[in-house]
Parts: sequence; C-alpha cells; structure tokens
Amino acid sequence: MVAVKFKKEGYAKYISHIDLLKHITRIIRRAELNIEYSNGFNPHMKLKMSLPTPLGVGSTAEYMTMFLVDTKAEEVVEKFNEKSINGIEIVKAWNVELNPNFAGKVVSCDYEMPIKKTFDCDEFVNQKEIIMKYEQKGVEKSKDIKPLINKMVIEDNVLKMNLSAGVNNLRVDRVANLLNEIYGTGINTIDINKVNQYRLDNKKLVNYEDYLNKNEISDN
Amino acid sequence: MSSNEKIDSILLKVERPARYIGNEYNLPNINKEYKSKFCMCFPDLYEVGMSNLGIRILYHMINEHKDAIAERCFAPKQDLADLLKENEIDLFSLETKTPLKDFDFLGISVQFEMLYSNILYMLDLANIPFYAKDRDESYPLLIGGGPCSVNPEPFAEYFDIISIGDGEECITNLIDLYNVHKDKGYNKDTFLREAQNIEGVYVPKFYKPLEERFEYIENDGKVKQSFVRDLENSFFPTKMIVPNIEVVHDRPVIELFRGCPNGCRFCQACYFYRPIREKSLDRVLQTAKESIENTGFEEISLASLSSSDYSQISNVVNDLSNICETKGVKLSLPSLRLDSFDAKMVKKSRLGSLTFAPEAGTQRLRDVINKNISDEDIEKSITQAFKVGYKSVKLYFMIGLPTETYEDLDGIREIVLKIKRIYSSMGFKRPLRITASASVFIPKPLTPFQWAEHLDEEEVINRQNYLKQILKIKNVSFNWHGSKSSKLEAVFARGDRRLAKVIETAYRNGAKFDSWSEHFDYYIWEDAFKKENIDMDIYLKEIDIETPLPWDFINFYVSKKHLIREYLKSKEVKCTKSCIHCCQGCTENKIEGCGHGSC
Repeated sequence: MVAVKFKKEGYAKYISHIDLLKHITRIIRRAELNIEYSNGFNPHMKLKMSLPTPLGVGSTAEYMTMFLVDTKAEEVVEKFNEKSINGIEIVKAWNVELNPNFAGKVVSCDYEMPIKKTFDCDEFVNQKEIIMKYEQKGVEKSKDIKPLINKMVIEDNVLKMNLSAGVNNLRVDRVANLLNEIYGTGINTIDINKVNQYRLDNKKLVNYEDYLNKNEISDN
Repeated sequence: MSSNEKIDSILLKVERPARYIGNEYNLPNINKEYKSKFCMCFPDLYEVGMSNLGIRILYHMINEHKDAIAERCFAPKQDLADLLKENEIDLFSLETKTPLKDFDFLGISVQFEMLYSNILYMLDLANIPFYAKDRDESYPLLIGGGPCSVNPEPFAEYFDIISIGDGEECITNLIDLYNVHKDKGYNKDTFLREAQNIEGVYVPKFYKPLEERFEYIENDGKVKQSFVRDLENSFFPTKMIVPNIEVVHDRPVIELFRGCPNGCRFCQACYFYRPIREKSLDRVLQTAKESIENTGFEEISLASLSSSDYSQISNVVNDLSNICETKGVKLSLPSLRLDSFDAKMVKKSRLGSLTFAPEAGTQRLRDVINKNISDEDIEKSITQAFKVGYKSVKLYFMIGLPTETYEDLDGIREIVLKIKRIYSSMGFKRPLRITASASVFIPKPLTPFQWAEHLDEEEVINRQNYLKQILKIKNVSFNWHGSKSSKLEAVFARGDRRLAKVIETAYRNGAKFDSWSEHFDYYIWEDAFKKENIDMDIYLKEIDIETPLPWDFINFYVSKKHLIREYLKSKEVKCTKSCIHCCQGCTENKIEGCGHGSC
C-alpha cells in the first residue's frame, strides 16, 4: 500500500470532501492503478483519507492511504497526477506496510492565512475563555475554544495558527470568522491554507511528513 | 475588482458553489482559434443539465468544430440569482465566466413544458430581452431545441431560431452558415432568411399565425424535422466532462439506437425520434470502453427508448459486463420492456428494484394505448425476475387515459395482488416491496393521442383518491403525480403563441423552477391566465381531427395520416404491432436504413 501527501488548491477548494473522494476513485481508475476493492455487496476502492478540510479552505498537506497492489510509490505520483483534476496533486508518496490511519491519529493542524488588519494574538489567546458562536445543521451553538488553540502568531501580515483536530476538532474557517468579527481581520475563507498535520508520539507532536519519512509505522 | 474576481467573491456565499465554477476534468480545448462561440444553456440546475445526453453530444460536437467553441450555462439557484442582481453581474458561462450576452449563439435546450418559465429566468439574469423582435444584431442569436421543439409555439417568439429534431446536423449547418455570413458582414435578417434552407430550422418571426380554435401556421412545406441519417458514423462524445459535484445521472451513457418500434399511442418520444436507427455492436462497445478509460466513472449505462429492442442486446450486455468487470465498473440497464424481460440479462446488471411499466390496469385499456403487453407476459417476466432474486418491484401506470373507467383502475390493484401472489407462491421469506406510481396522462403533440382530452382536474383527483383507497395493501406504496402541474403541462404541450405572454406574466410574478414541486405555485399561473384573458380549457378538451393544430406546419418524419389512423384504431380497441419486424407505414418518406419493412 502507498501513503501520499497531496495538495488541494485553486477551484478544487470548492469540492466537498465526499465529492473529492469520488474524484479520487475516478482518477485511480483513469490512471489504471491496481487497487484493492472491499468485499461487500457493493465493492468500493480501499482508500483512507485524512480528515475533511472545510469547503473553500485550501491545503498543501492532505494525506491518504491507497491499498494498492504491486505498485511502487514513485509510479503512483506520476500516474495519478497525469490523470488528476485541476488543483489536486500528489506531492510525495511513501511505500508503507501498515495504514498510518491519518484520520484517526491526527491531533492538530497548522494553518496560514493573509490578514488585512493585524491584532494582538497574545491578548486574544490569553483571555479566560474564548466563546465562539457557530451554526451546526441550522442550530445555533457556542463553545469555549480557548483549549483548542495551541498557537497563534502573525508574521508579515500572515496569521499562523495551530488548532486542535480530530477528536477535539476546531474548524479554522469558524475561527477566521470570529477574528473577522472581533478585529476586522478581513480573512477570506478561500485564502486559508492547511499546511501541516500532526500526530502525537510519546507525548510529542510529530508532523505526518516526518513520521512517514522515518517509515516506522508501528500501529494503526 | 474585475468581474471574475467579483464572481469568485460571491461564490462562497452560495450553496454548492461547485455548480458554477466549471473547471471540470475533460474540458475540451476552448482556447483554440474560432470564428463563433456558442453557449449551451440549460434552464435547470447544473446537476440536472449535466445529466442530459443531448447537451453532452452537442457541446462536445461543437468543440470539435474547427471554427467554433461551446461553453455551458445552467440556471442558477435563487441564492446566486439574488447575488448576481445585487452585484450587477450578468449571468455568465461556466468555462470562461463570459456574460451570455457576448456569445454569437445561445442554444437553449427545452426539455419539457414545466421549464418554460426558466427560459425567461435565464434571459432575465443575462439581461437579454425576452422577445426576438426586441433584440438587434448586438445580441446573440437564440436557438431553441430539445423535445419541446415538437410544438415550439408557446415559446417560439422568444427565439430567433428553433431547431426541430436531432440537433447534430442542424446546429453544425447553422454555425457554418453563420461563419460565412460573419466573414462577409453579418446582417441578422439576411442570415435568418438563408438559415431557413437548413433542415430542422424554423424562424418564428417569418410566420404569422392564423386564428381558429388555436393559433396555427399554414404549412408551407419548408419547416422540416431534422434527423441524423447515418447515426453509426455520427459524433458521440467519449471524453465526457467529469462533474465536480454529484449530478443526477452521474455516469457515461452509451446510446444504442434512436427511435422506438413499439408505437405506444401516448408516447411522444416514440414518434419524435423515429426513424429507428441502430448503432453497431462494435461502435457501442468501443464508445463504452473509451468512455470508461477517459472518465474513470464507477458506473456506465445504456440509453435508448427500449433497450430490449436492440438487435444485439444480449451480446452488448455480455461483452460490456466483461469489460466492466475488469475495470470495477457497474453496468446499469434502463428501459427494459416488460414483455421482453430476460432475467439472465438483468442479472448482469445491478440488482436494485425491478421497474415495469404496464401503464394501464386492464388488457382492454392496454390495447387502446397500444401497450402490447398481456397479463401472461407480466406473469412470466415477474416470475423470472423473482427467480433471479428481485425483492422489490416498481410499477408505472397512467391515469386519465382515453376511455379509462374505474374498472381499469381496479385492474391496477389486480396486477399488484397478482404479483404478490406469485411472489408468495414461490416461498420467499423476505417481504416483497411494491411501489406503484400513477402519473396523469397528458395528450402530447405528434402522438396518436394528440387530439385526446386531458382529464378534468376534479376527476383526476377522484381517481387518485380511489386508487389511494384500493391500494392500501401491506408492503405496497402508492405515489401519484400532482394534478395541477399535470394540467399546466397539458395546456403548454398543445399550446399556441398566445401562451408566450402568459409565461411572461407568470415569470414576472415569480414563477420559476416549476418542475421542482417545492417551487411550483399553481396560483401564479392561474392568475397569469386570468390576466391575459386566456381560457386553459380550450387546450385541455378533446380536439376534432379536422381542427388545424399549432404544430401542423412542421413536416415530421412520422406523418399525420399515420397518427390519425392510429387514433381511430385506438377507438376501435385495435392494436398495432411493433414495427421491428413489420413496417407499419408511419412515414411518407421512408429513409434507407429504416429497414424494418418486410412482413
């Protein structure tokens, strides 16, 4: 099997996660990659994606595992990209023995976005609580997101954040909306970029890419 | 902000922005040099329009033309429409975000009567005047086409040209002629006059209707339905666009043949798509194979009006399932006629629910409508189907067919009960689910029933209620079609030019997306008819055979004589056989290739 890191940019940002999954199966079929199918009544390709990135948000750090048979990582990059859609491109691939379980193990992600107006990040994160209101399935909700923001800095008018992901997920587009409301930061959802995804190994944050480079996938 | 940036900035504010961004896989090369550009418009959402085979063929065909390109535009949902108006952005094409106004041609596909209001909705959003007479040379030429071109009169005055029949050759000829005119200095009137020589072209403004019961046009012999004579070698796309969101029919569709030999007397498609023209097994397989390789779709299907009448249907299913199996692709088979149901064949495709359309509950009524299926056929096919494992059956019926009585409605219940009996006699444990649907019969132009009555709304409701009562059976569900939308569809199907202003008034009062039940508001339409002082009933009643009809000026492949003959036979409860083995003489100018003559 092969694990890959891929980009989602340009108009592909408007493609929802479910539609993206469908696209990937079609790309694999066009590229004639030899992939395993599930044994169910309706066989489907065995693919494991990292967690969904919100609609409109770009990413240079999406991951997935493809259960390929007799296929080397190098040929996947070439064949896949040749038949891929605009904005979806594999940047690196690794031969793996076990599925790295990207969706299940992720604990946080880095995001970057240009801002039009700067603000004091420390003051923001050091509040006693940070209440964020949002809508979920038509229901107004609110929660304290302070524990879910791990890092927030501004460098050259680019806001960089590390937000909790996975079990305690914090959606970056919602944080951006909140900052726009409070500080008038003028962040466009389409300018937000996911740049890294992390897992926790021995209580230390490990970037997925480093983890794959070491190639010591012990559990899944 | 440039207009493209303006568009990008509003797209994230709307539901499913991927509908409007284009940029899909397999886009043809539209950056080549061209003389004219065409925008293929579809008056419904992206998801619906992208599933349409006609659009798919014409769009890719024009992009193969050496001097033309085609882009696409679909009706946007209200959320985007509001933002376009608010931001003063004209409706734009998917590919290059070009305002529709800037094209040479706008081709609008009119698929059925309930989309008429959406033609105006799109023109309105594009800031284009509704009536052809109000548009000078600076506007694109508006071409209407699609199944509704069989009677284009209700919307004819909106268009410069109506393309009647198969679009492939008609549109190519129009583009070629236009390019010549463009080179030597384009004058709209001169062009339109010359365009009238192209088979399939109707230029409404050159015709003044006469009045009688309906407005009608004298048949001058010039307006002819166009049809592709050599379908085998005609263009068919294998690099179809792979949409970025799920569309209604999300798969390549491979055409087996055009036309239908069965001659059901209510069916417009049967008569409109004649003559019957088959594609060879090789062409079908080649098209299917290339389509799978070029698109990567997980499913593929075959299209025709009656696939079981394809001369090589078992070969096609066998060979195609082999191709599909190796590529992990599902094969779905549509439109298998009840009497030719071959269980082995169906097993090769996905086992969903079995769909049968007896259309009427009794043998007598099936004879009237020329649905050549006997009770015995139903029994046999259903038994076969249960043997291969079907646990769910969908049945389609029509109510309000000519001569229908309550006895015929009882017949629907009898069929349902019989199917249940067959199933339980075979000793299955899992319960059988039956879904029966009843649409309302609508007399359509170019059918033997074009003179028949559309059943009065009150009586439609009575019969629907009666069916609801008698179909209260365990594990049977019953669906019916809205009586009010059926009534409107019937009015417009046989409508004349007077209805153009009704459509306009209804649109101005909020009618749009009338094919979506959640948007359909009958009272807007009722008001519009009142305001324009037009009585709906004249379009709904039975019509005398002698009365000139609004679509009589079109010279179709199928002759009016044949339709009259069939109508009279229906009154005598007499059937007409399928023309697959024995020509039934539906035309006065039979073409080579329609080789079903020797009885």
